[in-house]
Amino acid sequence: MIVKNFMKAKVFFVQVDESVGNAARKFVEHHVGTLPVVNAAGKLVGVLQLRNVLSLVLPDFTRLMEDFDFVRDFGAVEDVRPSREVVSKEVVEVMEAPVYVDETCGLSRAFALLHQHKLNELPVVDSEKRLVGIVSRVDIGTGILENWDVASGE
Amino acid sequence: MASMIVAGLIFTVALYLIFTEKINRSIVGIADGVLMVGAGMVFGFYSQDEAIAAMDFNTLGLLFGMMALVALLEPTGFFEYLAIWAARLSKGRPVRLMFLLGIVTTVLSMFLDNVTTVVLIAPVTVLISEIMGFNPIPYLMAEALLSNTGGVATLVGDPPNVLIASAAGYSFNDFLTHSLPVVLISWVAALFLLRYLFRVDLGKIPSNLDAVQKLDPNDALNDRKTIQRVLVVLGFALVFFFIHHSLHIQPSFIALGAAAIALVWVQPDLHKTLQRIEWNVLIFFGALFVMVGGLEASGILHQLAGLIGRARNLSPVLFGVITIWVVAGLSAIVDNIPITIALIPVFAELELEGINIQPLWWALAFGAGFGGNGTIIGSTANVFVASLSERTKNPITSKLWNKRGLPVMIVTCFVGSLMFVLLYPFLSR
Repeated sequence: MIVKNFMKAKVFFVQVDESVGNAARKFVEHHVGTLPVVNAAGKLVGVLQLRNVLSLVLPDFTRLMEDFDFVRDFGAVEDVRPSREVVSKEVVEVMEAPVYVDETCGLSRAFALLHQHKLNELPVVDSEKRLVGIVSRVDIGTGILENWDVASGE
Repeated sequence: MASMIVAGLIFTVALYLIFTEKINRSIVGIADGVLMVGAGMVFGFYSQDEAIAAMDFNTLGLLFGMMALVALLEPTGFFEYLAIWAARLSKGRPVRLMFLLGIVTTVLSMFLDNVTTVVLIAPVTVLISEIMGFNPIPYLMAEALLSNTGGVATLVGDPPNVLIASAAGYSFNDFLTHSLPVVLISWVAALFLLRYLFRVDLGKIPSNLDAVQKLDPNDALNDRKTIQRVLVVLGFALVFFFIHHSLHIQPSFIALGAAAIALVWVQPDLHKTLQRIEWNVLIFFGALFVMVGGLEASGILHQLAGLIGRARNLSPVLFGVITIWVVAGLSAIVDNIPITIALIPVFAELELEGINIQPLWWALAFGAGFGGNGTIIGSTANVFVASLSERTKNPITSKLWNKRGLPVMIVTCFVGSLMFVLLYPFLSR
């Protein structure tokens, strides 16, 4: 029941000095929500979430008001495009500190980390902290359920 | 002599720390208040009992009562309702929007604490400007500046007025007859000036005019029952404010009474309501009272009044105008609350010297209120709007404030001075 057996070994990532615009293209191209960020040596240094990029263009009032359910139409906000300045920012300015697991980590611990940090994916690293895969909420959750007796149809 | 130097030093250090804003002003207040009482006991000029007596519970009670009423109204969506209503009425025309939001903010801040008003209206302003697609800065600054200006009109509108009313024994109606007319004209002048200063921004047509028409102010209301109850209580409080003088009751009793009735009627989650009360403002006031009480007891304010009293040969009208500008300058740099608290005993001493201080109380109110417009730290409303804008894509810088707010301060003080001169015979009664 270790992460290594449930993760995806094919992982899309960005380099730490890539632009936010490049990262946005990768999100679209690969249709993913999380891009681990690595340095030149291939070591994990951060995580770029879809929300980190989107919050750059999220309207300010959503941060300032407790309740905005009554705003049925966001009007001009829907047409907001990021400025050139925002798009050319480096990934390192926008990324989060990585929450990650070692490939030998147990599934329960991995799931607890996802839950605690409200994440959907966890990058997986080897003993040298090199990125070797990515494991999603569904990968981990179904992995755990497989071992329940009920799931085996008993 | 030693006690005067010590007390003066403690107070100067406090003003300096408040001015630099490196330490929270309420923390400065508590520390320096304690220091003042300690020094007073060592040097024998100030006792613990005198420190307690120095706290003006009239002011504190009035502020607390009004804050409690606002705290009940805050989570109901009432303020969002008003702002959205104003935005719809403007049909998205920038100048009209600034005028309407300015009116809403000003009227609210005449009866409620003006910081709270800005705190509640500013986020909705950002919302309205974002969905319509324009820069919120002119509107945010207009709200702070117009509410600073408008708050001077009433006894409960601005903390310095509460202090002045308590010290001079002015009634709610005294403010309506003496201060309101002056403020009205200054306010209109400020509005026209803002329209001119922001002419470039206000000349742009919003990119999405429909969005605001799709907002329904009724959707923003989420607790009609509480709104009705608090408004009924506020209405009664207002009636009592009008007649408090003839009933011989203090405004603080009315405010506390209104808060008590509203709390009993609404029965909110008290923990949350108390969290919305600005304790640091109340503590700041209490600490300043203690500090200035020490200053007074040391005799330094008496000396200061003696010095100022030498200018008695000056024409009283000119003396009043100078007061407006000096107080305004100080309020722009430090904060109008400590300035007002420190000047009140000085004025009381001047009265003992045989100077007619009635007009000076009004000069103090105008100077303290209008002076707050001058800089980004001039009033708590300015500080709030600026720090809110820092969380948006268009932060208001100190430089921008000097370019837009300082002219407003100068024009409002100028109009205030002019009115002061014209109305002098009336204001001195």
